[in-house]
Formats: sequence, C-alpha cells, structure tokens
Amino acid sequence: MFQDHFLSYRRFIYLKTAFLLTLLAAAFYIVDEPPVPPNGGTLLGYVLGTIAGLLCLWLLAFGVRKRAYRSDTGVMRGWLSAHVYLGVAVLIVATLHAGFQLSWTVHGVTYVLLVIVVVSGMTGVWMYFRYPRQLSEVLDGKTPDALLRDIADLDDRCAQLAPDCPVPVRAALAAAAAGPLYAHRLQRYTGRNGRCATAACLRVLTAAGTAKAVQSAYELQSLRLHLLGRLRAYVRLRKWAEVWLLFHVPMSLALIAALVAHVVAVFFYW
Amino acid sequence: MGEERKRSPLESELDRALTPQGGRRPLSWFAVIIALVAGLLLPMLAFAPPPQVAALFAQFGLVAEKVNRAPELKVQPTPWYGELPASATGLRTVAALDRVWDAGPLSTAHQPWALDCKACHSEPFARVKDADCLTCHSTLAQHAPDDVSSMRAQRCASCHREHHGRFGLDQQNRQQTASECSTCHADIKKTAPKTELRNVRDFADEHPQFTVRIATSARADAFKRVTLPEQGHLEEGTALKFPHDVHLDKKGIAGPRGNKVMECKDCHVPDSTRTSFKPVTMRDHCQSCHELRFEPALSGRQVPHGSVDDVLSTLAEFYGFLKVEPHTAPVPPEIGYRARPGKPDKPAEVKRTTPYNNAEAAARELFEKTSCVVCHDVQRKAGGGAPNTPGARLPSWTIGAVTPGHAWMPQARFNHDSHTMTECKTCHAAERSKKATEVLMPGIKVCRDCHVGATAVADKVRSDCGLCHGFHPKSPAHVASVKTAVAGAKP
Repeated sequence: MFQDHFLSYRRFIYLKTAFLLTLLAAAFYIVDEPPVPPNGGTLLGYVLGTIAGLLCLWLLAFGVRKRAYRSDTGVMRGWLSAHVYLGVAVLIVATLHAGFQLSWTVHGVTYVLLVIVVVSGMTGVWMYFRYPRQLSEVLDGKTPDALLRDIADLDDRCAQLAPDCPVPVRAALAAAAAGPLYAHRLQRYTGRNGRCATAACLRVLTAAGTAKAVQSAYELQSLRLHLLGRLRAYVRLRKWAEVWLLFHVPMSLALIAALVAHVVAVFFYW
Repeated sequence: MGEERKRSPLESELDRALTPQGGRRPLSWFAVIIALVAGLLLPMLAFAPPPQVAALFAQFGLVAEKVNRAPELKVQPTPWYGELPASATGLRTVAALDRVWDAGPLSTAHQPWALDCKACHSEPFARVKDADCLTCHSTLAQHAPDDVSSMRAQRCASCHREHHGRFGLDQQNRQQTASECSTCHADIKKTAPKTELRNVRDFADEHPQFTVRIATSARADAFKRVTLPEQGHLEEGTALKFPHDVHLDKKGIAGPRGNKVMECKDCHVPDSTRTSFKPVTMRDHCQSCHELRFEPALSGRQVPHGSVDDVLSTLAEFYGFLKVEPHTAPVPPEIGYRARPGKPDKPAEVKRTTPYNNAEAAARELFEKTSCVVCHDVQRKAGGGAPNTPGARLPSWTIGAVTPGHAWMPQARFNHDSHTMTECKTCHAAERSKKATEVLMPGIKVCRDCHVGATAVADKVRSDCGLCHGFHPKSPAHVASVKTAVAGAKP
C-alpha cells in the first residue's frame, strides 16, 4: 500500500524537494545580514518573496490540473504529492520572506490567508488519509443503495409481523418505516438524529413485553437502526469532505487576490 | 433506464443529502472580490480619487489636510483635492484607505505623516525620490559632491530605510551606514586624490590611529590635525602649569584646609552635550585651594583672578584705604606682612612706608612667589601698570597665554554618558601626566580594548562606522574640504 501512496510518491521526491528548498531558504536567512531587520524588502526578502509567490501560483494550478482530465502532464498522484509538500514549504519560505513580522495590513493579511490555506490543506491531508478507510468500513463492501434496499427489506418483514403485535407497537413500526433519515439538515454533518423514529420504536418495543412477534420486531428494528447509523456516518464523511473543499478553494483564491494586492502595494509605494 | 422505479422517500432523502453543496464558486468570487477591493481598489482610489469621490468623502470630514497641519512644519503638503472648508477635519487621503498598504511603523519623527503616504511616495510605482526627502531636510549637506560616481548611485533611502519601527532610523544612522563606507574608504585616494584621509576598512583591523585637532594659536582659533603617537603624549601649546599627577595623588594633596584627595569630577563636569565638559574655571575649581590672598594678617581679601591691571589696582586701592583709615586694620600696616611664618620679616628691597610700597611688596609676593607663578608663566615687564589706573605706578607683569579648552575630535560621535561604567583613567592617563601641555586623548588601542569592527566578537562592542562617525558634513568648511579632496578624481 505504502509504495504507491501520494505522500511517498517516487520515494518521497517532493518531500525531499520541499525539504531542500526550506533548508536553503533557512540557510540564506541565517547567513544573511541585511542592514535593516530581516523583512520582505531586503535582497533576500525579494528573492524569497518571488519564490513563495510563484509557488503559490503553481499550487493554485493544481486545481486546474485536477479538472483537466485529459491532461498528461504527470500523474495526478505526483501532482498531489508535490502540492502537499511544496504547500507546506511555501509557508516556511513566506515566513522567512516576512522576517517573522506580522501586521494588520494587506501584507500581514496575505500571510494570514496563506497560513489558513496551508493549515486547511494539512487538515485535508489528514482527511484524505482517514476517510477512504472510514468510508469502506462504514459501507462494508456495500453501496448506500444496497443499504437502503436492506432497510426496505427489514421494513417489509416488520410489516408482516405487525398484525401480531400490540397496537402501540404497530403504530411505532409504521412510524419507523416512514421516518426520515434526518430531522433537519445540520444532522447530515453530525451523523446523529435525536428524534429518530427507529430509535423511538425500539424504546416502545423494549416496553412491549416478550411476545415472539415483539421479540422478532425488536431484532429487525435494531438492525434497521444499525443500518441507518451506517448511512448517516457515510453521509457525514461525504459532507465534511465537501466542507473542506468549500473552505480550502475559496481561501486559496482569496490568497491569490491578496497576493496580487500585496505585490502591487509594495511597488505602488516603493 | 427502462424499468426506472419510483425512489422511496428514504432514497430521495439520501439523494438530497448527497447532492454536492453549491457555493464554492460564489464563495470564491466573494473572497477574491473582497480581497481585491479592500487590498487594491480602495487604496488606489485613496491615492488618486475621481474628484466626485473626493468631494463626497470631504463632506463627511473623511478627507482634510488639517490633521497634520502645523504652522511650524516646513512641509505643508498641498492636498491633491484642492482646498477644503476650514471645518473639514480628518484624514489626508480618502479615509486613509491606503493605510492597509503600510509596510511597517514609521520612525517617531516621521509619524505626523503616517497617514499621508504621498508626503514621501509622491509618484506611484517609483522609489521614494531624494527630492521628497529634501523638501524637509534641505539643510543636510551631501557627503561628497555628485561628481563622485559612487555617490551618484546612492539615494537617501539607500541608507535611511523607513518603515522599520519607531527607532528604526536612529538605529540605522548609528550602525548601518557602515556597510558601504569601505567601498570608497578602503582606497580613498582613488575617489579623493587630494585627501588627507587614510584608508579604512573596518575598525577592528584596518583603521588608522586617531587624528586630533590641535590649537596652533594661544586663542585656539587656528588648528592643525595631528595623529596621536603610538607611545607617549601629543603636546598642545599652553602656558598653563598643571601637573595632573600631583593633583590626582592617591595620598591626597595639601590645601589650606588640610589634605584633600581629588577626583577627576572635582574639576571636570560634563556639559549638556555629555560629550565634552564645562570649562574648568579658577573660581569654581581651583580657588578653593589656590587662594589669591594677600596681607593674610590684615584681611581675608583676595585679588581678583583677572587682568594684571585689575590685581594692581586692587592692591593700590587696598593700601591707600588703609593709610586713610588705619584704625580699620587689626595690626599696624607696617608690620602686617610679618604674618607669614618662617619668612624674613621684611623684604629688603622694599621699604614698607607708603601705600605704594606696600602694594608693590604684595604684588611681588603674589606674582612672583605665592600665587600667579604657581600656575602661570609670569614675566616682569618694563614699565608699570596701565596708565590712569590706581596701579599705574606699580611694577607690572605679563601672564603667559593659556590655550582655552576645545574639542580635540569635533566630528566624533562620542558620549561620556555611554562610558560611565568605566573609570576616567581607563582611557585617560591623567594620573601619570606631569604637564598641562599633554593631550590626554586615548589612542585607538584603548578603544579597541572594548570595541571591535562590523563583525561581532564575543565580549566586545560591535562598532560600525556610524557608531562614531557622521555621514553628512556638519560645516561649510567640511563640505569645502571634501570638494577639494575629490577634485581631479576620475568620474
């Protein structure tokens, strides 16, 4: 598994590249003795700034490459690998470019946006690592539609048991079959439904005695609740992956806009 | 596709839940537009707004020239939007929207213009021009004339980099002028063929011995530059007799009120510059021991420490008065001089009979034996005191000229306050100095005990050129001398 992972792509070639870049930048930063405190306006400051700026543009190009399905400029795994490692490196280069100075100006805000984008990128890597495994665990080899069919199957069997059950149980079984996955939209992100009809039905069944039909219905509803839980977990993971993109991409674009403003500002009031 | 069945409610709900959220595109546009408007468009608008916009903002007091207007300022920036009603107050650019471009805090002296970027950045996409600096700093002299090619390439901002904190410029003036000095000064003859300066690269290992300015006239109005010797002391002419070693004897020195152990600060009091010292005066620093008394048995009177004629007149008047009013004296004036124990009763050559005789005897004592001669070069001169003064008939003397104190290194940035952690004698060898003519300035070796050059060394003070040297000449004479020095250099 490991050898074809995006992080280990071609024996960590991009990790090595990023490390070398960072190391070089840091070495120059340490050796450099500018006449004023280190900042973006010294010679090294301009050089590091140019590198960081160009890297930002290149990192953004990942979004374009990702959609260019017919492109054959490198494999996607390689692009992602470079995107991740150089994305972290650019934060370090930009920090050295700024000489560790921060202010609430267009310059400081550009840096803050960079931090936000890179940190959110790291979160993305973390999600990228966990989610595929979690998704396959949740689905356990099935598709969401298959899970839904299982649920429909359970509902049919419960409907057959219903006439043998007491009246309250009958009503609860019907409510469970008609009950929605979520009580409101935000539950898609939490994966929980406190007002789940199936859970309510189970409570009714627990109190409904030990008749055989009730016992069977209890087992079926337990299974139903379990399947609902898996569906909700699946939806939750999918939604958070979307939320991540909804954050990372607009922030990246805002960063590029701020970067343009930053560069123009520097030379406007040179 | 043909047997498409109706989706169950649960299936539809799942479909809906899994439908990708929209909004990535609008959110992106929103973020980009916010960043471009606040970070680019509004500041540019503040720099050069259409007149209608300026007028609109002015109505709300968001544009005005008043905030930084102070009559004493040389620069009264002309507002780009024209004159406004006097009631308008506020900011000098449109709501100072360009403040988001601020590259860092200005130094304290420039902070009145902190919201007026155009005061210095007069032209967009151009580096700050010297002309912008010289609007205010018009009196600053150039280090070297523009015909020196290396100076032509330098802008004010090559050395003075703003936006580096409240004390950024101060700091730079001390330390950062260093980096470029050796470009010319390592081989100064190349740039200034006629200069007297010697090459310098770094204080630590390539800096000439100090040169001091020595007075060539007794009035200290003419000077020459002399390099300090490696051993011993340079001498500067003065007719003063003052042995530092006697006064600084650790066992003390005998005075009228007993033994006194003296310290440097008893005479040398720093002046307001903290670089130099207030002049040492007879009255404040010497006279408490070196009294100018005469006739001690009769009176506590002292002659003034002034001109010879003042002294002679004082003596003549004193004895004249005693003659008229003898009862004011505790003992008869004829024997008054006996008060000096262990001395012969009467000086043989003077008959103490008349007031003039008495005054003459006292004058001889003062000038030639007890007082003046102790510190001064005293010569008897032909004739008497100034005509038409009470002392006209008395003999007279000339006192050798004492060269007044003056700065030996007038251009150096040196502050004694910064060196109070060490004793005076660490640098000034006064305790062994026997003559007042000795220039007790320390040589470069003494400074190098603590100071190194531009490269940091443990336990030493890193010293760039700017720590001791100024860059801009301070006097017209200095400017002229630089001009002469560089004459004939290859452009």
